[in-house]
Amino acid sequence: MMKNVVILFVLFLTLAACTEPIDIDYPEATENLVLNALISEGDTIKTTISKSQPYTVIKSPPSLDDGDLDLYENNSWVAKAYLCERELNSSFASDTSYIYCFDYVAKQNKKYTIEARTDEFEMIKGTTELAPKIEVIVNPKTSSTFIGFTIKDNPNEINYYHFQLLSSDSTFGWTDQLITMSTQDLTIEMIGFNSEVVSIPDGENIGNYAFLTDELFNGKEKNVLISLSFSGNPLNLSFRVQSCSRSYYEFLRTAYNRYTNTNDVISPPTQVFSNVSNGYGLVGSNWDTVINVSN
Amino acid sequence: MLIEGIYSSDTLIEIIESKLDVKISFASKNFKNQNFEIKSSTLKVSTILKLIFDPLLFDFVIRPNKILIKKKAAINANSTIVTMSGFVEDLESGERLISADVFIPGTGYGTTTNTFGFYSLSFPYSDSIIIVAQLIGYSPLISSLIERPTENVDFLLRTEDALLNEVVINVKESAFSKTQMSTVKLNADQIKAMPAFMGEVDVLKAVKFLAGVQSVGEGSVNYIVRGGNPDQNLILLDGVPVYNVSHLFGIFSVFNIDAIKHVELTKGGFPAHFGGRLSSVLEVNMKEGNLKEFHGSGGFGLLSAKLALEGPIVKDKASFMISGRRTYSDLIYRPFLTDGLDAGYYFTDLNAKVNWKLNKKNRLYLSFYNGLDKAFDKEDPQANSAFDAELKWGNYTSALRWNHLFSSKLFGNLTATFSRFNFQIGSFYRYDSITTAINYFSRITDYGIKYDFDYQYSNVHSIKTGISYTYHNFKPGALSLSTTASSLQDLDSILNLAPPTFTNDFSLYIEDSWTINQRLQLNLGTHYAAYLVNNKFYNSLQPRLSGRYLLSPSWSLKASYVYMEQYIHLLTNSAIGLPTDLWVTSTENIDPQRSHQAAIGTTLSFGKSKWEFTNELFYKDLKGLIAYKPSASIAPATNWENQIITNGKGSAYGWESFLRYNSKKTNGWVAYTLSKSTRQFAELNEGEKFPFKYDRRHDLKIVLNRHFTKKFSLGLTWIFNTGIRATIPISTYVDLNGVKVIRFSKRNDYQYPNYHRLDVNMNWKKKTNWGERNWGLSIYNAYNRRNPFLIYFDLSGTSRNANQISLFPFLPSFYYNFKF
Repeated sequence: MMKNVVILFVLFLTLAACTEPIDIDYPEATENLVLNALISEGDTIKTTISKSQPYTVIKSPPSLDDGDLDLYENNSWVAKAYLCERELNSSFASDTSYIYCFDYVAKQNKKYTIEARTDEFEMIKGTTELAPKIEVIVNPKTSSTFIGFTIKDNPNEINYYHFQLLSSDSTFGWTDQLITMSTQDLTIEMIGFNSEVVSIPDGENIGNYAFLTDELFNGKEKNVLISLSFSGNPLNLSFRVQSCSRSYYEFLRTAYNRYTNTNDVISPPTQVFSNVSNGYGLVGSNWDTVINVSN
Repeated sequence: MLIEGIYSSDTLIEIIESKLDVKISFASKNFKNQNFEIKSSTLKVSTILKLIFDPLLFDFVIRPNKILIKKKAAINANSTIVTMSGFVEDLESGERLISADVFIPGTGYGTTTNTFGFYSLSFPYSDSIIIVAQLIGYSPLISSLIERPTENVDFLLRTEDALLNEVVINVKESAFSKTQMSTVKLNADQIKAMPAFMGEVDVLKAVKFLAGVQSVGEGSVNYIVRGGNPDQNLILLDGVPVYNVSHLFGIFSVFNIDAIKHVELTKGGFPAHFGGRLSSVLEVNMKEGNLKEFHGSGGFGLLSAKLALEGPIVKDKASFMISGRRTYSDLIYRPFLTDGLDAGYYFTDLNAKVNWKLNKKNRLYLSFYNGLDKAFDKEDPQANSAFDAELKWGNYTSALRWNHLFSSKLFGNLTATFSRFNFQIGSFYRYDSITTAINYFSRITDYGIKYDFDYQYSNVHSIKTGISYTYHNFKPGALSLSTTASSLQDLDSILNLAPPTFTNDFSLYIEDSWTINQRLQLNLGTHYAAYLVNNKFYNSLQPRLSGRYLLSPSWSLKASYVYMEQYIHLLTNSAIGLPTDLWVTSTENIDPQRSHQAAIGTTLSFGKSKWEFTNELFYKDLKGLIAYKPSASIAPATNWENQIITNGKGSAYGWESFLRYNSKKTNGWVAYTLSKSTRQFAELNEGEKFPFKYDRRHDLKIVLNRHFTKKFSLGLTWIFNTGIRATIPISTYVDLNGVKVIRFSKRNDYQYPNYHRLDVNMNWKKKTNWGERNWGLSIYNAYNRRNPFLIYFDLSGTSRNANQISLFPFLPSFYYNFKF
């Protein structure tokens, strides 16, 4: 309601005011090279490069296929990338995302750097530690109304976790009306987080996701219990537990924050986290466990 | 004897010799020939000579047929110290005058009246002393050759206006001689002479024309001082904090100029008696009420009408002042609304004050203020069902003060205060005879008591001390539900969306104004603050140091250092003073705001004290700042602590220059500030330091008022400042999730276009047989500069185009005021 008051005020001022076009003198370059890669232990490393567009341009930015990419492991060069796949992606101007592959498998406890350049742009680069592997033991009583699992947190290191509840059916909803938003992938807000071990105020809940830092686990084995209550019968419910590199964790937090906060005229804008120097994007790492919940 | 004009000292002496048929002899060979402006009427020769020669540290002896001028002997520290005290009052109304100077010219002995017009001055007694009492807007009062000061001497000053045809002696000892720096005073007449906006002159808009004070936006009364946050400004109305000073979403302030007597802004070098806010203290004092005659004033403008009445309850014993103001736009357009609909907006102010002289040593003041903004929308009361909505906010403040003069050296004031800011949104649904009401409200309430003492310990030590306690009740958000449905008769519940917080705020201070010698004066003090919130106890000992060194009789060097803590915060993103802004307290998780501040500067008085030129360099270091998380925007009703980021840092430094001119016909100033201010939060801008939103590098203001005739005066103000800072979208790209996202500039990396504006005020005044009336025409934004208020991107076309919204264009308005 208070937000409406403010919007009313802004509207009042807008009506009382005059509007005219203005030339913006941008403080930074509007076109940059963008590098994105998510690396997991044991997987071949893949990446994409694209180009940012000036904000005044509405059309989608292009994915680039003229990149020259190098991979470094602990600062030593290990591989050069090649164009290996094309993927449908409507976010790009050509509806296609060009995917580059390195013939190299990521190893635990290593640090990876990707450098990229094109004919148009100078070299940009991003670096990530590999996300630690975590052991997730699913509680056998897990059902459509209850999810339980145990995390064995790695001692002596800082870990970042991301929990995400996913459903493929749009008829689901919380009976207590706590859903504040349904995204396209029907992610459900985890306000129903109900555990004696972990409670939301100790972690951080942004939109439809839960982000938890190592402070809650601190090298211990923790039982996580989540009660779910639906008005209908959920189908294809899955719960995703991710261990993240710090950069990927920061990216997820800020990206979801941005997704859920795009139309607010008052709040300060959320900058989606980037660890790519001289450009934009994210080079991060995760270790992913998905718990499928049967109906 | 009548002497008038500008003379060299040689010529002057010749004139005195010829007119009085005396011989003036020099005992000193070092007499410097200088020019003097003498304006006198019926003063004694000795007074005139003293006025001329005292500041030059020359003395004189009158002998038969000759006057001997000699180098003045140094003040003998072993002379008998006498203490003189009393009040400085307006001769016509009996009102006590705040911040009036009482001093002995050329000696360095002087003081300033406190909030209650009281002064106490100790000095070595000699048999030829002149004491001057003066205040801007009043003719200086010179008590010459006081035989032997009695303990109580009151000065009754006459307004300059009443003396337009008379000649006054221009002896002024102004800001250069005071230890306190970074302070500016304005009286009601100076504010009234400034251009009006929509027919209303405004105290806070006048304050924004001072050096170091910057506006947060077009039309808004909120301001920032020396790179601080808006919540770091303490605004006191008769000593009571006012939490929200905005009417009409910040376009007008809550201060009705007709009820105001004196305004004083302190931007730095805070003496120990100030506490609780980091950046400034604005003291606004209401009129007390005329003790001698009944008077009234009033007027109307484009938006509002006002009326103030004052007069004696018992002549010379007790008086009252009551003043009201209301906007009337809702009354004008109400007849044009469709049948059954009643909607509108208005604001009101009511100020009232009573003062009662119990006896020579005791006086009581009771003051009250209530302001209200209300927007409403009501549907047909005859209809079977209707939905009504109401939005209102406002302040209540009151203060009961008891002055007691314990002795000529000790003055005490006991104050009990109450302050409340209330914001409420209500909706009422009526169906048949059943009404259901839902109200959301947030509120902050203070109950306070304090006791302050001024003690003139000796001619070199003047001490202020005091103690205060405030009980704060924060209610950041509560929801109440009530219904008349018979089945739910018992339902009338209040749900606290955020739990109320009760805090205890205690402070104790002591400061000593120490005159080491005629050149060097220090103010040393400490302010102890203790704050109890839930089970968390904060306390701090805050040193306050300031000093003044007289480089010459009219040029001083000043410096100050202060440490301060602030235990309350304002949750806001707009800073323009919306009623939705939430005042919250420091808690176990949220530290107090802290600051170290230092300043150094000089003040020079010249041109027969008509000109005053102040330059200051300042540095401010801030810690414990809070801000909304990037995802949050409006104060959340629930769990607000989780919506903010804490432990922010900030800094501000700069140079302020203030040149002020004050003569009977012309007054005004030029204020320039060159400054830089930054902020730093671990969670914002990737942890890097970024410019403060209101980091305006250059800020220039010019204020000029000129009385061309007795009837016509012209006021001009011009302001220029560098544009505010903003974070803007610069590009879009596809992120790791395959989603197109916006890349923003670094935080506050974009600078809005510069802001400048000229306002003009023309005033025609006429004396009538019943009093005085004046018409005024004000022009806001005289050359129609389209200043940016907001920049946004238009998404409707094939590309996003940047657009600028400008508020008030060329905006003439008129007003009519009267007084009787």
